[in-house]
Amino acid sequence: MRSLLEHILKGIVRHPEDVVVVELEEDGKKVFEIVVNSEDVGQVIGKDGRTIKSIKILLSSLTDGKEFTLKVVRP
Amino acid sequence: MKTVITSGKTVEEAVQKVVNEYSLLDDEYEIDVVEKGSKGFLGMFSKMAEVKVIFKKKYFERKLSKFLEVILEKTGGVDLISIDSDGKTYFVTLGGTGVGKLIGKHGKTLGALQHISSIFLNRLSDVKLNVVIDAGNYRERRKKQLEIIAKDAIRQVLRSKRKVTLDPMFPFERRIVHEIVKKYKRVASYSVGVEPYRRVVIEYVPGKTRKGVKR
Repeated sequence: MRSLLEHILKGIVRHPEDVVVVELEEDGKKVFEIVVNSEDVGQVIGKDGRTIKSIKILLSSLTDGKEFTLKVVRP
Repeated sequence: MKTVITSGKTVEEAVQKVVNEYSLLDDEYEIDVVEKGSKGFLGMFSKMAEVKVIFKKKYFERKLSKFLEVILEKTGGVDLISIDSDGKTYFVTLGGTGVGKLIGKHGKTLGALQHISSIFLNRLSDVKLNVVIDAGNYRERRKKQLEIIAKDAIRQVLRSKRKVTLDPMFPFERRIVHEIVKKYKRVASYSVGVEPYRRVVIEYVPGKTRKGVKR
């Protein structure tokens, strides 16, 4: 799933080489920390969070209801 | 689409630079020579060649299908059936036994995939392109369903002369309903609420003819 998330992010940002996704556990829940170039942060989140929500929806459909969180962190 | 202007010692060199950078295939671009360039005389008066490389829609279709294929690989049971384009709109058709999962509740997942694909394609293009993704004829079926819902509601409004509020719908679905309502006399529609719970309201307007509201 991490590699798919990376694939999607690299496809939509201006600086694919700066995309880093870290997978970690927080209180027993899966968390994906997303780091992108500061120029791309807005693009990844989208208007009203529409893009990041879309990514979450798409990934959810592939993980059979396992919960996870996406976090966009500033580099 | 996309146009890249570049220069080099020769026309070939300039073109090759762009072809390599974007890994263009032979049939995916056209060349417009702006300046042929010349070696000059004894290295003097030499001119650089300048070319315009115009990306054809085949390039965008290939890139989009590659992008989607990696995603679909993980979905399982979904195949990319076709990618076509008409002007600035790219139509993607998906099929297979796994489409149900990919469509999601009320087409939510399909909408998400479409949104992401649209950003992806526009990242490659200079002008705004649209992407429409359909899976297992979902959009077509949904449109017919919306027509039935809208017509039922209109009938109810005309009979009761009261307004009817429909269930929450996506923007493009509400648009379809508004378009249908417009075709009828004595009814008008508008939307209320905040996304994602925005709903269409159809109301009775006694003096409305097809051309506009007369009160």
